[in-house]
Amino acid sequence: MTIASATASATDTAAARVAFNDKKYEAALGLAESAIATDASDVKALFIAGASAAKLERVEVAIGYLKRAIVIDPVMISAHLQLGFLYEKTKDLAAARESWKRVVELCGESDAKVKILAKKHLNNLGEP
Amino acid sequence: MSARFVPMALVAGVTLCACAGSRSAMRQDVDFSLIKTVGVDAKPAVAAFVSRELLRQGVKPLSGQSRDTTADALLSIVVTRQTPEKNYVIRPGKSTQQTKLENSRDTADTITVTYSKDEGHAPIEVPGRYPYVNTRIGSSGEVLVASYAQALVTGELVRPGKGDVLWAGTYTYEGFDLESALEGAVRGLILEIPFSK
Repeated sequence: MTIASATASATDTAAARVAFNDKKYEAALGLAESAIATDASDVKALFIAGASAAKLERVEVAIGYLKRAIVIDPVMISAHLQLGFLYEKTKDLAAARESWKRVVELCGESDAKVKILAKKHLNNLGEP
Repeated sequence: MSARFVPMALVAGVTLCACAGSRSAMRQDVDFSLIKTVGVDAKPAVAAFVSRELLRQGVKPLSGQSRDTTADALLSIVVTRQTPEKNYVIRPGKSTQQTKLENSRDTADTITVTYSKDEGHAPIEVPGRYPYVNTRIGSSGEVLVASYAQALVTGELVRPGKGDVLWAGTYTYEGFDLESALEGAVRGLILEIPFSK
């Protein structure tokens, strides 16, 4: 990747973040996808694409982007967290359990609240 | 029907249970394992979730008029509160703060965040019991601030005709959206009822 393309990707990702926070999810998704097209390893763009697609109720698309994000950054708690919620939404409870387990494993002291949440979801879903 | 409940102690006792997100209490002198049919009293959008979870517990749900005459117990479930989700991706700024709301037993923390570099944005309030600020996104230094959809449900299991409350509880759950949160809250609440004990 060239410096110019890296800059273009970062600009699109930054714009995607602003659009996401402004609840312009269609724009955020488009900008994030543009960033991913330039740099397929941009985990922030992958995360924003996933979160935006989720907001647009394109749940399978969202899951796809978030799974790509955790392949590149396996310890990204926010992506595992989003996946846990989305798998519950799609009733894929086995996958949801796996995501929540990863959240529990990855959370440190600074993520105590997230860890409590993940444990609660594991208890709620029960064993298969 | 009521004869099917076997007193387990001469003096009725109550057991309390309070875990993260749930609070419940049950009568100690009731053998809940004898409850095989439960009448469902809930709004239609909730009743389907309730029936499904009862079936998962091996209990037969009843609706309509038959629930009042033939059920071993009646389960009333009310949705007490629903809060929609909010999600932001931010760079934590100096004014990021967490405010504990006083005098609000069941409400929770409120987070006020600002963008550190996106000028012109007003502070954002993210209310809810679980505002999560420390879930980082890659190595960018940015974090996901999210308050997920929350549902709080309240339930009572009563003996038909007599109105004895056998069990009562509340359960809070978070989901991707309100439907997921409600579904999880109902599942959690019914798991709290000791049908197998």
